[in-house]
This record gives sequence, C-alpha cells and structure tokens, in this order.
Amino acid sequence: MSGFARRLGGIPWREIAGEAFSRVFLVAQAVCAVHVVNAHVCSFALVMGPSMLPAMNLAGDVVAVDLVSARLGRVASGDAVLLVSPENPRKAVVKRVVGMEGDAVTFLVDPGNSDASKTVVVPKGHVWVQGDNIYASRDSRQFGPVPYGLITGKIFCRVWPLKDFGPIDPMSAE
Amino acid sequence: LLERLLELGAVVLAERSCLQKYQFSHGDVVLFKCPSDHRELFVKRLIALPGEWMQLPGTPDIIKIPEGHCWVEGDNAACSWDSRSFGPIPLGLIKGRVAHVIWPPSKIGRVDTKMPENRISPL
Repeated sequence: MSGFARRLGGIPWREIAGEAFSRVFLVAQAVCAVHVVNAHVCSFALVMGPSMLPAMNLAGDVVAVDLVSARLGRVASGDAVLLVSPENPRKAVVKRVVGMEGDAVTFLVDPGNSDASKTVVVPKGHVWVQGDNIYASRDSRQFGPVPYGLITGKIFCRVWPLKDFGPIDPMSAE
Repeated sequence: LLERLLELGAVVLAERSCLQKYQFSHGDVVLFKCPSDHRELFVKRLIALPGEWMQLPGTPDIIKIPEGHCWVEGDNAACSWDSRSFGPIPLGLIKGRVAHVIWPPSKIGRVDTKMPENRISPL
C-alpha cells in the first residue's frame, strides 16, 4: 500500500492540472471566437425554394452571409439579402433588394396573369425586396416595403454545392 | 408611466428569451429598432398583438393588426413617436422585453406589465 501511495505521490498533479486547464481554456477561447464571428461577422444559411431561381438552386444552397455590411448600412439595390420575414419573425427569407429609400419602384402586380403594373416610392428607412423568380415569390409586392432593420446580412458567397462555389454578384435591379 | 419611468439617459435591462418564440403579452415594455431608422432603438409599450382588432386612438376606426406585426405606444401620448405615427411594426424589429431599470438609482426596479388605464384592450 505504501508503494502505491509513493507512486501516487510521484505523479506531477500540478503540472497535469495546469496542462488540462490551459487546453480547456484554449477550447473555450476557440468556441467564444467562433460564436462571436458567427453572431456578428459572418454566418451561413441554407436557402431553399423557388423564389430566388435561377440565382439559387431549388434543392437548396448553403450561402455565406456578411453580417457587418447590413449593420453599417452598406446594402444597395441588387444585393441578395437575408432578412427576417415581416410576416413571421421566426422565419428568415432570402430576397433581392430592388429599391432603397426614396426610390420609385415599378412592379407587375400579377405577373402570371396580367401586364398591370404599379409604382410605389419606398419610404424612409425601408427597402423594397423581391425574389428573382417573380412568378413564385412572396415579397414586397404582397407585404410592402420592409424596414431596413429586418435585414440580417448580405449574401456574398455560395459555399454548397461545391460545383457552384463562388461569389454571388449583385444584379442590376431593374 | 413610461415617460416617468424611463427618463432620458436611463439604463434598462432587456431580456431576450422572449425572442425564441416571439411570445409577448399586452402591456409588455419592448425594446425595438425604429422602423424608419435602424440605428435608433425605441422603448414602447405593446398594445396589440398579431391578428387582433383594435380601435385607433382618438378615432372610431378599427383596424386588424397584420400577422407578424404588433402595435406599440408610449404612455405619454402627447409626445410619443410610436405606432400612431408609423403604424404596426414587424415583430422582427423587437430586440427584447424591458424587465428592469438599473439606472438611475432612484428608478431601480422591475418594469410593470400593464395596459394604460385609458386604453381599451384589443378585441
């Protein structure tokens, strides 16, 4: 028994504890860094559905979202953005900015059935968003201009599928 | 009253757990981004929730609050920039529910969830 106790006493517990603490601290730092980057700098989103065809695939694309630009007010017409749905705050949607505050936006009221168009002026602090596929998108044509504050970030890159990997360029907003 | 409770320069504690399900109650004091300027934060009282019918203050008109929106008002109607000016706001603009005032020391305490006395509850 005394031999066992001697062996236990010979183990450098302080060094082991110090090493363990430093590794745990390193992991904690990494987790914190990832969280901060994901919450405030850049995050990823899965985009599914027909509303952004052909720019984004029906089956689903994983895109990188720049969260800094939206916060700094650097979103312009033509940018694809991730925003909180004005109709359901628990849902995020991807649309393209077609008009900024003060812009006059002309759109087809019912593109599938008639050529009737309407022109609206985007109010202060709001943006006009539409899906690229106007035949299958619920957007500002239905719910009106959305407050800029609902924009979460600007989509700048497609990361999946790998064959389509690359930057998502802004479109000229007609 | 809100204007007496939250004087200029007051520091409040806003809890964000309510944003997981966006479940609010009438009378909640909420912190939200101004609909016309995303850099500005407002603190107002929640008067009507999505899908509810309510009478517009000072008029006989009754409106339905759209889905995903709410109606907010300041307690000091005379000088409050709120839904009476900009209409119902999307729930997505809400950043938290104001739970406590933590500064100035004379105002420290919980923020009451109550509808203003002069206000009829939404239908």
